[in-house]
Amino acid sequence: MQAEILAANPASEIRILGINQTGQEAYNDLAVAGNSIPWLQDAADAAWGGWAVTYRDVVILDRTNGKVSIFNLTEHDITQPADYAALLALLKSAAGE
Amino acid sequence: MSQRLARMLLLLLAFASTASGAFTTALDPVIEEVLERRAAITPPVPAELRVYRALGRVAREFAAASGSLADDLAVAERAARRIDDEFRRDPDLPRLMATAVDELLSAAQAERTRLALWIGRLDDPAGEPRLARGLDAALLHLDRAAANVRVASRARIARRGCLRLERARADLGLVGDPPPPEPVPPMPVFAISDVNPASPTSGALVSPRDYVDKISAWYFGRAG
Repeated sequence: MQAEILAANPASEIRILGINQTGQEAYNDLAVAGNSIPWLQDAADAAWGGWAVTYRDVVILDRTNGKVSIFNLTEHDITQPADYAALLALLKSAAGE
Repeated sequence: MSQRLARMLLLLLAFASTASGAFTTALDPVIEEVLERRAAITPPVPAELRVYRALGRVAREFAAASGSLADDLAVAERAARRIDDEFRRDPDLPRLMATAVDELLSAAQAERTRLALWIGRLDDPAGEPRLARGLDAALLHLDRAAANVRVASRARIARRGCLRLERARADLGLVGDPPPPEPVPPMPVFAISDVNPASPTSGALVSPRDYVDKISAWYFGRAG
């Protein structure tokens, strides 16, 4: 999705990152294969616990790091075109793009 | 005092009293044209009497008091009918009247846009469907007005749209625009390593604060 966003608009200010849950470090190689987005390894649940997230949440932040919305990928399967489009629309709407 | 000066004074007096009736300034150019023409033939010679009286009848339509955009559209409808009756072949008055009605219609469409800013912002969520119905009904009238070729009909139908907007505002107790949204506090900060060798920030500690001034999406997953 990040590649698609930047291909459509190289000046886009949307950035997508992933955060691996503490304890899942052994599988990072699998997660990053073929991906160039930042893949962060959480430590002592600093991110997961600090933001009180649920597994597969996508937390969208505005330009002041304020939470805009949460889009959970278990509830919304982005292999389905409608859900993929919904997430993309959320990001673009937040960015005003 | 010259006759020209006397006419200008009459025009100014008449314009001041007539224009004060309107809520917007959209009708001013056509009011001014009517009063200027009437002042130019004051006092009228017998050959000018019919036009002089007709201009007077149009001017009286504009003198009606107006306290809203809908009232202005009612005035515009009556004046447009009068101009259509008395000055249909005139090179300027019908055009000026049409321009004025189009300006009022644009103002009505802008008012609908302002009212729509309240969507999702009502204190009582039960009011949201009523707001949506009011906006939908107004849109229907305003679209129909825009598509109508007759100036007076355009004003009449646009007025119905305005009244729907006014009614929605009154029913829901909405005044002006909604307050700006409360600023959202920033999410808690952390700094953790980017372990993707292909990422531009590979090996660095990454924090949400690195993405201030951007829109960032943070996916929380399990690599396994």
